[in-house]
Amino acid sequence: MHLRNAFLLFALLTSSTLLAEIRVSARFEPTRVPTGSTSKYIVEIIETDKQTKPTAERITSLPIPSDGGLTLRNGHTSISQSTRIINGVSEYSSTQQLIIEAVASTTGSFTIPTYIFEYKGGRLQAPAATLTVVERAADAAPTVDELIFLQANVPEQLYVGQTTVITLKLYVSSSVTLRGLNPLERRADGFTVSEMPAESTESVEMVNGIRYRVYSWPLTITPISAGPQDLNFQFTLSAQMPNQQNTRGSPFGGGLLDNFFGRSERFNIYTPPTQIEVLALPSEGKPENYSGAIGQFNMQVSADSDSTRVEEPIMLSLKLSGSGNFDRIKGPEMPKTRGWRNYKPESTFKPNDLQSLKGMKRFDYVFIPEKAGSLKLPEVKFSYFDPNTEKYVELSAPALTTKVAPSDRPAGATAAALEAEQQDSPPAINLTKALSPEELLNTLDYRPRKGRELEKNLLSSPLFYGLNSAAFLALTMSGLVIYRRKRLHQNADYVLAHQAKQALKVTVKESQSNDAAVFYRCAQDAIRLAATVRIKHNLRSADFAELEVSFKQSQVADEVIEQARSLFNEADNHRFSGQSPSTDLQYARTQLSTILKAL
Amino acid sequence: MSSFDRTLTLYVLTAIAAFAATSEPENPFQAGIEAYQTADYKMAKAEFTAAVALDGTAAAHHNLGLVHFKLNAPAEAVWQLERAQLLEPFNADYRYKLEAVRQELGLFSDSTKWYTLASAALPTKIWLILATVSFWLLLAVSILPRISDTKLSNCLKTLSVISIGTLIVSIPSLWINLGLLQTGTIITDEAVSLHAAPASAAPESGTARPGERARILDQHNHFYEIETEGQATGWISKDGFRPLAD
Repeated sequence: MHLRNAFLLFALLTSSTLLAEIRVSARFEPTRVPTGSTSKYIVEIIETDKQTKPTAERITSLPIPSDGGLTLRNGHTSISQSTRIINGVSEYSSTQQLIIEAVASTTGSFTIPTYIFEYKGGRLQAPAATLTVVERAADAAPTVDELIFLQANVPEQLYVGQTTVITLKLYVSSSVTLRGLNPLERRADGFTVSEMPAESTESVEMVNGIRYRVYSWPLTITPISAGPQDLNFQFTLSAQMPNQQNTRGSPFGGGLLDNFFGRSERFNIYTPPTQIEVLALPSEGKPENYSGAIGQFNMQVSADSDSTRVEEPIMLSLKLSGSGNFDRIKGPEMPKTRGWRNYKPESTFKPNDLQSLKGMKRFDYVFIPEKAGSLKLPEVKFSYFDPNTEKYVELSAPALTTKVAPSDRPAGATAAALEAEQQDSPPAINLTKALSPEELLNTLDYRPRKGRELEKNLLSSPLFYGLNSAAFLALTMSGLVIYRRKRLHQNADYVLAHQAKQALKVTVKESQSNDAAVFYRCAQDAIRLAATVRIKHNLRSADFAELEVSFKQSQVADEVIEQARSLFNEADNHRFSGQSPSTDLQYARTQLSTILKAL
Repeated sequence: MSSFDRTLTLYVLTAIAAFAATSEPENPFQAGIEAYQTADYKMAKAEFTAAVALDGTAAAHHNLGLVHFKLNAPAEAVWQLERAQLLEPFNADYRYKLEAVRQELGLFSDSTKWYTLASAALPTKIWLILATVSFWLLLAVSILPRISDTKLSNCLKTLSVISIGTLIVSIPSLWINLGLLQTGTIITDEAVSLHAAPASAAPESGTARPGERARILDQHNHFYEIETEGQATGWISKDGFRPLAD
């Protein structure tokens, strides 16, 4: 399936390619020019197709064979499309023109031979084209390039990172009226170029007997990579040429209004092709602290004070003056010095020229002393490359000494020691000797003591939990005891019930006896006490009739009342019938237990 | 056994005991002092380290701190002296040396605040017991008379006032003392970077100076989050910071 699709796609592409027709032509326009004049070398690629509109593939470069005396420059591309319908049949075409300006400085015939270039995956052949350059007539009007041209005075050689000033000059013949000037364009991939000043300086110069107005702009350039580097500038300007004033002439001759209503043309003005040899900085003799300074510099180092206190900052200033690439100069790293701590410097620059290539750059370092004494600030070193001598130069300033007094916020013990030193000594014999701070500091502790225990997790220790648990229990128990005592003192019913409960416990214990007489007596007492606890009314000496009334009032079950009656009757029978003490009491005990549980 | 034999046996046993006594390993604390006095600081460091591991006295920490200072490791010296002062907070000698070494490191001398000294008057454990007991006493004095419906006697009123006073004193003291155990010092001899997150690759959020005190805010894996006395906050590797309670 995939194979079939691929085949169909291939067939479609092949057929569309076969159907499209591509023609290539090359020519000069005009084919004959006087020396110094510009002709246009035009390569035209025309694609025609009757099925679809062909799409042009933009060409950015052509392998044009060089001809020694011909200069080709300022190429650009133009693409147009058209559709033609003849007898109902459409024909689509696409035309791409590559237009390049050609200038010859000498007379002769200049031919660009046939060459092959690639287009849309295929190879096309550009035919040969010939330009004939003839001698300019003595009375011929000057060419545009003679009337307006651009020049830049650049050095032949520079070092990477070396900043230099160049002057860009636009020469405009006095017979040309300059109408407008577009921003400067530059082709300088290997350089950083400063912005063009908004205002130019204007002067008048005579060149080859022609009077020119000269507009000048100073620029700074800095090479950023080594090797031969192109540096070209271009202006697009509009100007009114002298012959246009004439062509606009009226039957009454040229007038003042011609200058205002004359037609302006746009021109691209270039500097001649320029190449600068950019050299890499030599590695031989390069100091370790070199940070990219190129030029000629002087160094001056000073501190704002020669005395201070611990933790009170002083400022070390490094001033670099001279000429060079100040914008690329960084403050040298200060080595770490014991007794000092320092911070990154702050820099200021005071230029002495418009291009900021001359002036004075200042780096201020803040140093803070960390201990007292006579301390030396670090030695300052700065190195640069001198392009004139082509050697590195290292400048150094000796270390400055600063007296650092102790901080005015001394430790307590230190203050005490100082006070002790300042105290008046005994007049006759000095029996005491105050230790120096160093002696104090170096004295060991000869008596090991355990010291305090450090317990990190004291709040989660058994001590904390145990203490709080014990306190909680003690408080709860105390509260309960106090509450009970309070009720015993204040509530008679509670007291009665409490006492009955105590007596009931004793009576129930006594009722465990196997002596029937003791059992029945205790059983009757237990029922009375239980009734007292339940009803909270003293029934300790009540007979069964009273108990029965009380039971019914407190809604005791009838079954329980019957069992109590039975037990009381049994007890009375036993007491008054004189049965033997060894009567079987098992049933009576069960009855008693049931009654007590119910009550 | 004749009297001669008994006497001989006694002598032999005495000699063995004396030999055993003399052949015991020397006390590392004492050995450290001797090494220090002969300027053998590396040996002194080893001995005092052993003494610290053995019984962790304030004097051992103090002496080890001085040895570190002699060995040009002032940040470690600061930690040992801080620890010694924590164990003996009222030792003026320790405090003087601690401040001197801190000053050597360029740290401001920081006179101890009165409330810190006051909180060090009693050990943390005693403050805890006082706070707990006074709290429960105050609770008991407040609750029990209400249960028994009795008026507060003068005695109970006095007890109540004492409990409140003890609570007011003991809780801040306890808080300060426990807070001290949540501090530590930078133990590297160079300034060290603090990071915005517990990773070395995290952006730097500040700098901690050697010997600087710092409060522990958090910890994660091999990092502590700290706030230094210079108000810098960030994460630091456990290799560069040691809590005083370690």
